[in-house]
Amino acid sequence: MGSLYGVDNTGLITTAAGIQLPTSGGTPSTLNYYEDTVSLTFVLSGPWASSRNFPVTFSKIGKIVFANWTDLSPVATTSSSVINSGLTGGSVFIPTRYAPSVERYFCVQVYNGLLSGTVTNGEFAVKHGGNGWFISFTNSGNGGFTNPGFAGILAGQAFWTV
Amino acid sequence: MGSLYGVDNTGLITTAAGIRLPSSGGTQTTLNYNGTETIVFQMTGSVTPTFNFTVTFSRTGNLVVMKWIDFFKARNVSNSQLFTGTSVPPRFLPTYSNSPVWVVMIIDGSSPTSFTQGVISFGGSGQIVIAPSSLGNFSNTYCGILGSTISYYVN
Repeated sequence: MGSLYGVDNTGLITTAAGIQLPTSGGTPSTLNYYEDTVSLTFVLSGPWASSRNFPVTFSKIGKIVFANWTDLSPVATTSSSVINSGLTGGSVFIPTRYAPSVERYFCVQVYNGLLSGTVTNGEFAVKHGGNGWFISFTNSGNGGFTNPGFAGILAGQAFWTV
Repeated sequence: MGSLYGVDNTGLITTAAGIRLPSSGGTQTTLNYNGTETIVFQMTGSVTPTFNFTVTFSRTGNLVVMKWIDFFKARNVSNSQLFTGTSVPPRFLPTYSNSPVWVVMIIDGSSPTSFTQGVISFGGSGQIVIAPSSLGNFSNTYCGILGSTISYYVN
């Protein structure tokens, strides 16, 4: 028998150090992080006449980070730039506790075309530059959006490890 | 406060309310869910009759990983996507007004090996939807999806 702990099992167990699970066949790692639904509003700029707010919700369990976002409707473009936050006027960056150790790229869907509702595959990236970690969206060829046309982002998600 | 129990740490710890982890630098959230379920849905839409579509949901906290078994079928219904006849249980369903879409590998072409990019998502009634990248309908001889996983959170 191991050590005995006093635990109120009708209530909440709070641990200052984390827990270790049996992890049969593997090597147990201490699980010491769970944080759910932290919303950050990024300021996106690029193909539009003016910047746009873009809320992203982060959740983290252990070393896995999930990022989720809702639909950003298509708006008429004024240039063929990519969409990014942070580098060109944005002031919100990804907190260090959610940042991957290296840049990450994901397939997502975006609004990109001559017509407002045109949907194509695109790319979501978590990058580092300027003053911190920021997010970026491009078309499927890692390029800018159609101009003249419409650009937006479909609801999506990505996850990575820290 | 409930009763205090002596816990043998060589055994199982069961909590009715969940646990809180240090979450250094962040905001602690109560971790109170861990489970895995496999559900066999009836897939319909661009193929008739319906057929089995096996999906496994693993949820830890509010984070869900969904994996599925691949299939391909000869398309025999026009102007349709593929979708399940029943909804995903709310405990595994994202709660966005507009479901996220995930880019995955599908089958959409003249042969069962016509692999291309498509999407998987959740419909307005909570059903699983599979479609070509354009979010349009399947229009070729074969349709289907390759086995893969997606992840998302519910709240």
